Amino acid sequence: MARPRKLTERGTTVSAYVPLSLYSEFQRLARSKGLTVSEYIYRLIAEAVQKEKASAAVADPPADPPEAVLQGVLKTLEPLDRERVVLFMKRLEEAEGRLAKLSPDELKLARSGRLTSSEVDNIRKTVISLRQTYERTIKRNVRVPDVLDIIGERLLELMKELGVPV
Amino acid sequence: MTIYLPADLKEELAGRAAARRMSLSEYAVSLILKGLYAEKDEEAKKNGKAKEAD
Repeated sequence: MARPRKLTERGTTVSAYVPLSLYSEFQRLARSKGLTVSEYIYRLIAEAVQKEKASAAVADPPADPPEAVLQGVLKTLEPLDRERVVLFMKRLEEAEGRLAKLSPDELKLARSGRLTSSEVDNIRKTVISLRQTYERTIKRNVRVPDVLDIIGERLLELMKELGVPV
Repeated sequence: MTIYLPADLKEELAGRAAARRMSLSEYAVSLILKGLYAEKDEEAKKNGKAKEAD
C-alpha cells in the first residue's frame, strides 16, 4: 500500500544540485531556527520572491508602465521594424482579448494543455504562430532589448495561459 | 537536493524563470542562494554589533 502523502496539497518537487558544503550549511541554519531543511528552503524561496516583487514595485514606479516604454522605444526603430512590431502587437493583443473572454473552467483546462473547445484551439494556434514570428522575424530584426523584453514577457504569459510549451 | 514547491508557488516561479530564460531548478536555487546570503549578511551584522557592545 502506498504511504499517505506527507504534504496533502498537490505541488511539485524540483531536483537541484548543490554542493555538499552548501547543503550542510542549510542543515546548520535550519537546525538553529528549529526548522527542517525543507521548511527552511521553502521559507528562503518565499521570502526571496516577496523581496523581488517589492524591489520590482520600487524599481518600476507606475508612472513608467511597459506600454509607455514600448511606445517610446518604437519611435527609435526603423520604419519597417516599427511596422513589424506594431502588427505583431496587434495580433498579440487580439489573442489576449480572446483569451480574456474564456470562462475560468476553460482557462484552467487550457493552462493544463488540454483541448477544450475550438476557440481555445484557435487561440493556441495563433499563439504558436506568434511565437514563430517572434523567433524568426521580430527577434532577428528588432535588436532592441527593451522592446524584445516587453513583447517576450507578454508572449510568454499567453503561452503559459494556454499550456503551450516554452 | 529535492525541493518541494506548493502548486501556487510553482506557477509563480515557473513564470518568473521562463521570463529569465532559466529552468525552474536554476531559478529556485538562485533564489535560495540569495536568501542564504542575505541571512548570512544579517548574521554577520548581528555578530559585529555584539562584538562592538562587548
